[in-house]
Amino acid sequence: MSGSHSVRRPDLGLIALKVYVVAFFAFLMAPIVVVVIYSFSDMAYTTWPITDLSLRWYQRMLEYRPFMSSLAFSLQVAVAAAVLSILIGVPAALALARSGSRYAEAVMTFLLAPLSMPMILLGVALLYYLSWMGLGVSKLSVVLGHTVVSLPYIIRTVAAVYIQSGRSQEEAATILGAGRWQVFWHVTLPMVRAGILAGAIFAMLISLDNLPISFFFAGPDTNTLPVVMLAYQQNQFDPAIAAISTTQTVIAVIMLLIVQRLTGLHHIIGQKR
Amino acid sequence: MKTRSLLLAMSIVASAGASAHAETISVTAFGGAWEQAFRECYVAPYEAATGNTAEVTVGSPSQWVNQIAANPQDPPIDVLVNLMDTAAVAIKDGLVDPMTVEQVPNLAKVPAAFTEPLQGYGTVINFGAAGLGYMTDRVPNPPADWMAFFDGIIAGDYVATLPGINVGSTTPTALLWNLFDLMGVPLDKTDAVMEKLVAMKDSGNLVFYNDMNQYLTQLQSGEADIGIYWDGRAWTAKDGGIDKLNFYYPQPGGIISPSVIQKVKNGSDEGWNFINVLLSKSSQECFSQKVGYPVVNQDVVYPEPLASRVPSYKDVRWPDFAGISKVMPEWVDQWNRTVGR
Repeated sequence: MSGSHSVRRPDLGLIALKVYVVAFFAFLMAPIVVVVIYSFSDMAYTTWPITDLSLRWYQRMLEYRPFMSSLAFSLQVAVAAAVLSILIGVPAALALARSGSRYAEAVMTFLLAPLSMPMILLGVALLYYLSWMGLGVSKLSVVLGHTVVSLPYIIRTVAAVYIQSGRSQEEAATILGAGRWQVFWHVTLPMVRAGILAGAIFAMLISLDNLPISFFFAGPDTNTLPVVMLAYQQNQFDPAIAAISTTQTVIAVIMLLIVQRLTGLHHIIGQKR
Repeated sequence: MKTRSLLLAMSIVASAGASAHAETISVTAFGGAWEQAFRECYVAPYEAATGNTAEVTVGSPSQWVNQIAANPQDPPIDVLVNLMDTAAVAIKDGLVDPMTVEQVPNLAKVPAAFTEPLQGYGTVINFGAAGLGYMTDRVPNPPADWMAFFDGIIAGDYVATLPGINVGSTTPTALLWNLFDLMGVPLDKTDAVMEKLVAMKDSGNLVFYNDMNQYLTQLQSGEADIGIYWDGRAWTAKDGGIDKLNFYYPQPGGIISPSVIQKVKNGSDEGWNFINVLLSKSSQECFSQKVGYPVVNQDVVYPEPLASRVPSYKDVRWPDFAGISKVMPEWVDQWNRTVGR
């Protein structure tokens, strides 16, 4: 009889796991939270504790011309690099994902190589290479440089989605008489659309945050936000840098929310559902 | 009607002529308040005087020198603001032109001490000097000389903060060259200096900073009491609200850190005019008051409190910049092996 009144013991392992997860996320988020808090400080320096809250550093951010002009240019470059990456990366991903060639994997690895290369090295190499080609320090050079590092994200997400979706739907369309273009437009493209969108937004995030490539192509009309932030931070220590960082973080979060809303983040992190 | 047509034609020709003469040059500047003062005190007067446009690129010397080196025949920069180490690289690689009084008449107002270290390939335009910043409530009696400061770390008189090896503009001169100079050791004999640094580290009374903001955070948080810093930055921080921060130059003197200007080879000759405007008394006075650093035109008069804060270039110590650039790889290697941070 006493067995019917068994008391459920707390699962200590589960509690420990939850505490660990919370602590882990707190550890990850703390630096970002601190930056956001500092951006609302009224002090001229990053002092703690913050005594008064203010929007003065957001006003400073708006008034400091290089911040705003470089933010606008960074957004343009991010969009241009994402579009160029789609134009190059989607056909490559589709071809390689369905290729029976024994070299397909090697080509895929080659196209993903920028991910494993030190960015600073890539930046120097691109500066000298594109200058040798006559492009020099130009807007086109910045876009090409960012495309090089954005491309792997498009290829990876599109190829992953395409491989997961299998061949049956395309084969069915072909049997029913659709031509190659019709199969691509009505079957393949809708299948990989989520991957393209996810890859493009992630490519834009990578571009917006890129410093090592942008650093070497920064000129009067080609300065991106991370380069201006670095130059500002080297010579000034007011919380305006926290304000522009917070703004950049908000842009990134909005873009990730769009991805999550439209396709789900699992396409970016390569997780199956 | 004929007269109106003639006047119209003349005005078109005149405006076409004016726009043909108006030139755009590309100049570089460090970021933040430095860049804003640069635009206001140097770019604006130049544009007003010439009708030309000077486009400003904000960034870092290593970025600019690489951009010029990659495009030596058609450089994207005409006038290069630089630091001493990268200025030496630009000179060695033949990326900049020699500067004379004929090209830049206001160079006559600049003491030779500011051009000689650049072998005539440019001039210093403003400078800061490294000294000791300390919190007055925690270090009531700061050490009078540099060696006493370093020994005080080992003795536990205070917790000090020093620049780590990644603070490229500070560590080679204000810390390492300073120690070599004080200890009378040749620059290529690193053992004694590294031993001194290790002794400081092992005392437990030393922390390092890896960017200029971290230094201020360490002093305010109590992590450190005193440390090597730059005069202009320290005074700006004090004026900005860190009341207990004070700054001075220990004996035998502060260590200079100059900003340099150079005319890029194959860049526009209008660059000479820009540099001439930059070196004029009014431009230099404006700049020094905006950023709080001493400038090089000898006619400049500083108002208070700047006048009592800025050091004379004769009182500061000039590191052997050329010698440092030769031994720097060895210093970095030894630092990584011994100090490790």
